[in-house]
Amino acid sequence: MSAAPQVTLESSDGEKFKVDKEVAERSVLIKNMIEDVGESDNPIPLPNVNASVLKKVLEYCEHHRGDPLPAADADPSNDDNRKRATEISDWDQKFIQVDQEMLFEIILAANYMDIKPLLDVGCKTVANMIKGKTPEEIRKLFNIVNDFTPEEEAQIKKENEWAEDR
Amino acid sequence: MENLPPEVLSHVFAFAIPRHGYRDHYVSETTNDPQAELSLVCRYWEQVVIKTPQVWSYIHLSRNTTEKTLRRRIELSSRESLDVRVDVGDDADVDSSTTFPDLYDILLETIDRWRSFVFQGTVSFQRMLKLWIPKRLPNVVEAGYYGLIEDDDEGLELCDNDTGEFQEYRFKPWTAAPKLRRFAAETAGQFYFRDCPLVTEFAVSDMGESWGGNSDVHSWHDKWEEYFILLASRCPQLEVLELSDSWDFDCVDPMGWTRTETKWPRFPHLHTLKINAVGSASTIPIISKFNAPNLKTLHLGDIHY
Repeated sequence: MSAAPQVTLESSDGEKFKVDKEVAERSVLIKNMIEDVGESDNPIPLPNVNASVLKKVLEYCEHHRGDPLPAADADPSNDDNRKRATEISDWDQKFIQVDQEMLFEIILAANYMDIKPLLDVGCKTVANMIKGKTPEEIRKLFNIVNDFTPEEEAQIKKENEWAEDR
Repeated sequence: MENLPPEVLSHVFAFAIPRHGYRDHYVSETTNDPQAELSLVCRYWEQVVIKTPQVWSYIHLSRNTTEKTLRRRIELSSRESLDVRVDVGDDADVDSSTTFPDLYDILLETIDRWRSFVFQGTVSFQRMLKLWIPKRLPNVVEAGYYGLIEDDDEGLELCDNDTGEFQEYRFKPWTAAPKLRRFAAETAGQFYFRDCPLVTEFAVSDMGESWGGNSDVHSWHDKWEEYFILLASRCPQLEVLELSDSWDFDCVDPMGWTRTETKWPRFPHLHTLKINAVGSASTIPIISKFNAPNLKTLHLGDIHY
């Protein structure tokens, strides 16, 4: 039995990762690059992803290597369902239990490398951290500065009032 | 967090807005919306929230909704498909409100964008439902009906006037939902679809209650047969059927069922049957008569003998 074809990925800090092509192609960016360039021994550069983040991303891709790829679906309702599903599998939950900095790095890498399921996992995790919190609590959690004036805040509250209190 | 580009932050926000699904029964709206909470964090977030249509795509219309906010939400949801919950509360109160029907008309203008539709509330008579449940739901894939009918006797009288003879007051289904996949209702009678060939999942949470207006499904085996014949004909693709009741199905003579020779209709694609009914002896004839050659999973919950 012949060995599975492999590709080499190079992180922004120069570290090289040799992985199965099938694993690397969970990334639509890499899949397209391989298709464009063809088979090559040259490493594929990923200038926006450092080694520690790339290692985590590849751990995710390895675990999900056999999953069906999210296809460009003819039925838009399937995409709607994907956007509305908020649950995260047990393995993914454990995988994404990282510090805040790494969480955002993974999200940015998933976005750059076009790995939609990983992007979803990251975004759902951040969304779960936000849910039920007040603006002040959210600011504190993510260290965000409130740049509104009191008048602007009052205006936004008024604009977003959905129903009247009766 | 501030390094997340708008398209990614937008993706986060889409998951951060809680929305009730078609299987959620009676839910109350809030006056303090999560959209406002997100918008108030900082200017950058406010701009992203405004430009994220998904954040605005859940619409819970109630008597307290104002026209200004409804129009704003419709506008900000852009072309996004909508999850719509129409909450009439008590329609006697709605009748006294001049704004609710007008607001509903505004919402109906977006009907082609509705992805899910849930009706909840109490109506005086069955006929009132036709005011609130549209004749066509062209793109709805999930629907839920949770409505009480206060006065069935009035319905019977009306029917007598129409036909000149006493008979059960039964509505003909009036809604076409050609893309509907999943449906849930409180009672068996809340099945107003005449065209829903793609339904694969069907759930009733209070099965022992009324069917066809006044008669109860639970009392008579012919009602069960009629119900399943109707279900099989309207939903030929049915894969998952869930029948529940907070008490039991209460068939008066479960042994009598075994004497009937009527063959129940075939459900060729049904792979999962779930029955949750406290203490229900009626489940034996229901299950034994089921004609589902591809049934893989039979889930029985809360059944005690």
